[in-house]
Amino acid sequence: MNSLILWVVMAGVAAGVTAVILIPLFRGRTGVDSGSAERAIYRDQLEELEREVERGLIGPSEAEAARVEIARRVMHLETRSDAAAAGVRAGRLRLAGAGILLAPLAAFGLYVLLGSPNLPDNPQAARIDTPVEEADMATLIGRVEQHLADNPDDGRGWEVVAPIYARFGRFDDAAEAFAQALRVLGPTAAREANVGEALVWANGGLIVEPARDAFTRALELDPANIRARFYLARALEQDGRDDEAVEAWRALLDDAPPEAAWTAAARASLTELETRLGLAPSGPAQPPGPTAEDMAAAQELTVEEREDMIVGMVEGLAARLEDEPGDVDGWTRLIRSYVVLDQRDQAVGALGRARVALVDDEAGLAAVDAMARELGLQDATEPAQ
Amino acid sequence: MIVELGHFALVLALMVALVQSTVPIAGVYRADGRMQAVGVPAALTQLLLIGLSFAALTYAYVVSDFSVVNVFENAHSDQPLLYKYTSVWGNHEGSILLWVLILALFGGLVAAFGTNLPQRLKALVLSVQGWISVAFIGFILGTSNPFARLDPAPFEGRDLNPILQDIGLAIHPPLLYLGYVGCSISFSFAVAALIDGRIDAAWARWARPWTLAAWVFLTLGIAMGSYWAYYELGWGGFWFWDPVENASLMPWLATTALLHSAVVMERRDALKIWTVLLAILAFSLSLLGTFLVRSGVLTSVHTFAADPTRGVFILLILCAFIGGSLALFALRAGSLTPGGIFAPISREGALILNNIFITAATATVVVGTLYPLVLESLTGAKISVGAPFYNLTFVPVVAPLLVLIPFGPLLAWKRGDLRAAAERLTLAFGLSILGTIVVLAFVGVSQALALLGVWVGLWLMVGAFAELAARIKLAQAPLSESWRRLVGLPRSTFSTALAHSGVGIMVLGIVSASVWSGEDIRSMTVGETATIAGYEITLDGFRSGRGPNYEEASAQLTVRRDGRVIAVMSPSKRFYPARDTQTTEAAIETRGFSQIYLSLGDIAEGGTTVRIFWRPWVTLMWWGAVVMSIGGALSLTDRRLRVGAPRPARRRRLAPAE
Repeated sequence: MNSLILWVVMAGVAAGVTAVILIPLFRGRTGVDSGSAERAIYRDQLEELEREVERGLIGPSEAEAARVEIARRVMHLETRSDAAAAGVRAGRLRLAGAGILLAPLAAFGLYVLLGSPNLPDNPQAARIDTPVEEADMATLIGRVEQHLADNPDDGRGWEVVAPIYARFGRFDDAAEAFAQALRVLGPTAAREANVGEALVWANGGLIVEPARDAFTRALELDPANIRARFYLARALEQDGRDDEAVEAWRALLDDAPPEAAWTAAARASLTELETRLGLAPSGPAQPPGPTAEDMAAAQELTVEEREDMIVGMVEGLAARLEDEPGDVDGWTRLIRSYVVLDQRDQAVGALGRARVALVDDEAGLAAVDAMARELGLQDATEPAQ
Repeated sequence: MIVELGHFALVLALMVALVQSTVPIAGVYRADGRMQAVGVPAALTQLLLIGLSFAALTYAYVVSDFSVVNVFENAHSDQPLLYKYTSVWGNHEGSILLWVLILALFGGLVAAFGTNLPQRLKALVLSVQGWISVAFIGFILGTSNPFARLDPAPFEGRDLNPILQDIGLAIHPPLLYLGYVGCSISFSFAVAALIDGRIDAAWARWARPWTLAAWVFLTLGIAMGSYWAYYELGWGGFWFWDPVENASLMPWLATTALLHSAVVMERRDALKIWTVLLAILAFSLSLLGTFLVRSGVLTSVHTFAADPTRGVFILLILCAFIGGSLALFALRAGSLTPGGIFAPISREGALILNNIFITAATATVVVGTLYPLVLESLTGAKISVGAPFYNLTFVPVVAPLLVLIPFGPLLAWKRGDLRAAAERLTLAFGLSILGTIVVLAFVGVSQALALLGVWVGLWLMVGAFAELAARIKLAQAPLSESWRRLVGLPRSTFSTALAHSGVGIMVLGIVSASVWSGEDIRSMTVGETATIAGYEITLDGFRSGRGPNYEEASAQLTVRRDGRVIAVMSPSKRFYPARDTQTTEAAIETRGFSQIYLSLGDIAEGGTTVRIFWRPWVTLMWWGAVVMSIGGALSLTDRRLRVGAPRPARRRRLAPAE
């Protein structure tokens, strides 16, 4: 509807403009200019000269000299203006008219190429007023952001927006929002772990120094915090401190309910470490005891959700990279995520696709290859030279 | 819908410009008045369409429509309303659209008010304007479309470059563009004259007002830009010989020369070749300026985006217009009939001398601006050409010109009398020497060259009025007679005197602010006092606050003289979160024509670095430019014809032997 009005208005403007430009062609034949405007100027100059003489600004002899000069110029003009040609063939005129008529058509053609006629205006004020159900996610986030910019001490707000950032892949913003919530609402083990986890995501699965500090602080507040223990165990593994990692995984699995989703990842890591170190594999975890297990169960729900969320995010990232294959950061993050999730085949596959996508981007290719080498993916996928 | 309508209007404007650039000139060659007349409605509708397009973009900015990429990248919904308007041209795409709007405005003015223009000339001028329009609208649609859309729209924009969030952005670019683009009109007149093979005094009569208007706007625009850089950048400097500044200075110099040549042409039918060449040169230098600033060859606050395709496109426009017009000039210049003859010592001769000096000065600026670029592209070596280069080249070329300026208006047309002119200047000379001695008494002889500069400034200021004094027979006739003559003088006489004295005022300001400036950069703690030029400046404390889209930390300093409080100044630093950028806001206290200028470094525990500048008579520099512009505007309001009455030959024996 809106776009129909647009087309009608555009057609009106184009028609009006064309009509106005065509008017002179339909006038009667006008005489060709023959120096009358120039003569008018010189006549004015002569009059001006008279006025200056009257006011005594110029002496009579100077005035006479000037008069002679101007007269000479007018005479020169007369000899020139006779050259004016006679008529014009009607064909030329028709050609000009056709050219002018072509202009609006060409304009429509070019506009269709360049414009977005179906995209309505989108003023910010109008979007703030759209009901929540109709608003898109970006608008909703924008509203919360604006609210938080005005009320930076709304800790709940920060806590609400942080996981949404994470879902959209804005991990840096998520980490900052979790940190703000921590600042306002005060430290708890869960909040420290939130910050740490967001930092891990933001760094493509690598447990960086600030994340490690956050998890350590979480354990100081609650030595049983599963998430902090999980990531710190990963950190040990990442550092190559395999013996300690085995200890940590075993202790973590001992405390965990067997049905927890994350235990699969933990057990896989443990098994891999044990085989690498030549240790006897640990048995399945003990059935959980009564009281401490209740607490773990409460934690476990959120951990499970979180695992789902990571998987969801990785899938989202992979889908996005299909559309934007030039995103080097995205590729490195995706490959890292697969490695962290222990999906080595997926990681190798992603590496292959990244190499194809980035074939024109030397720097990007080098970055991806360097990371693959670091993660030990290189040998399996070295492209045939 | 409004945004898309604006986009369509721009596309349609391109097509109308195509019509405007072909049909009227074809009408000239076919000697058909009807086809020639098409230029007028084409120019007017083009103005309407580009105006519509500009209004649509402005609307998108005002309502923060972030579905427009250009708005998203350069605006923020929290900006004050004024900056929402100025953001429209605070970026590459929008500023080129403003350029084209002003081009269309000038074209429309020629079409609407050029009723006394000969029809052929008008048709040709409008066609040439049409070519320029086609080139630049094509540039916009091809490489810099401000109407590109985003779907879905982001919720918040990226904000305007904080340095540009200033009232200066509302004034400086429009003025400068009025000047740059005004040059396009004299260019179109010159090219039209070359195509037509005829150029005469009548031509100059029509071309002069446009040149004059462009010159007035350029003068104000450059002065405004200089003052803006002075107070916004926080370094207390007013002219850096930065290539971007030179980009505006070069067309200004060429336009100044053009203005003087056009006067000769109108009055005396002489200096035709000069006038045409300078008209081409002035616009070419405007285009060169646009190229340097917009192509990303230079990086500065003016370079909104560096994009090689844009650079190549502008370079092509540059080559086509400069190369084409110069080739046309080479073909046709010979056919221009020479006009009035004159003796070497005459007003005409003086103006040729003026042209030579100004052209040489322009050449030094062109070399200083382009040489580093050429060198870098050939050898990769980065050199910076700054004040030392120009002090050795530009200043020595301009200085003798400045000394000679007062002589010019005193020489008669056709054949002048140098000794008589010198006699009339004796009084002005004496007064300027006296003034210099007074200054000497205050500042001492420490800077001989600077005293020379002061003398030149005063000499220009006083000497500019020597012609006026001579014409009203001041001190030779009774006062009442002088008054009667003064009232009867044409306004253009006052305009010459004002413009030339404006140059003197500016020279005085520049010399004084460069030589006798005080400067102190120190770290101050709360309660500490610094002294500069007899003013005691005490740091009282700090304050922090919030603006609409920034956070601000300011220092409060009290300025005392002899224990009496004169001013409380608060320079500040602002942080703009949307761009993650910090700006420095200087505090300036004006005392007469002098200024105390404070700007802050980093604020640490209980103290900060403060840059303290004392700039004596600095505002004279900008006032000088304002006086020059008033002179130009005054001449513009004098719509009477200019006649240059020659001095008759029989009085030649009075002149010194040649």
